Amino acid sequence: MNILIIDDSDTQRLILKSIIADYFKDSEIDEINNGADAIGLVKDKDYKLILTDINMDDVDGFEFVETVKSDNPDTVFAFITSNVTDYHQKRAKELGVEYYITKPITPAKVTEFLDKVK
Amino acid sequence: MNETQVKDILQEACINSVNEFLSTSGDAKLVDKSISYGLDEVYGPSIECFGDNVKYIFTLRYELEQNQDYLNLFLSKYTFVDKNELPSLDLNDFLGEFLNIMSGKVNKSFEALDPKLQPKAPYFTQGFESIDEQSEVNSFSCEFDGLNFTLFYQVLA
Repeated sequence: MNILIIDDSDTQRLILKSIIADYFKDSEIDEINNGADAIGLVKDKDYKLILTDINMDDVDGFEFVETVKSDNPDTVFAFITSNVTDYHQKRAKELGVEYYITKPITPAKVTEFLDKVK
Repeated sequence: MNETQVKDILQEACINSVNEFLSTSGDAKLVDKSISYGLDEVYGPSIECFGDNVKYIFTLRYELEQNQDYLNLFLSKYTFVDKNELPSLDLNDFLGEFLNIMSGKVNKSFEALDPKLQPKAPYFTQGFESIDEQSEVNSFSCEFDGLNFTLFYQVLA
């Protein structure tokens, strides 16, 4: 299973990747620190699961999903964020993304999410 | 939104974020501390947030000699991380994420207190880059797991 993690924080990617790698032991996990380069990755590879931070410079998580989602109908998208204000919830709903993992990332939160989408 | 409300929201968000993200013991507490830093000495991981009717800046100042202690704390808290990748761990990034998490809680509380504020997602900076020098900079300090930091903030609403 191919999984992509997009977050501009090295710490968050490290934590998230470690949890997912433990859950899906045979998965191939790519990680990248910005939305612009992530768009290029998604064009070249099929991902079953993409977890993206929202708040990133240049191309943020919303713009990333808006750009790639229609070409990847079988991919499950999830936002990783510390901001769950009304604005963020409304924007995620508009984009058709139903999954949120709120920061701080914990094994319990990630495992609960992975149980739903595996 | 008055100064007391702002301070209460920030302090609650700080304590909860420390306990959730940084601390292994979960007993973070605020401390009275005499601050003698000049603004030119206020440096460290920072975030700025702009909303429709609010702007704020947080800077976390920690003692550089605590670097290794913070990294050790990370290892204690996140025992499951891939140790082979730890050399790339950046303390500035780690504490910047702490501020990001705290900002999420602050935004939620601000929104509940006054929906017109409309805070947006924060941006990472270093120090008080765009401070309004006419307005007051406040601070409080936090202790946890033998570590401490001072959070400087300016909130304009």
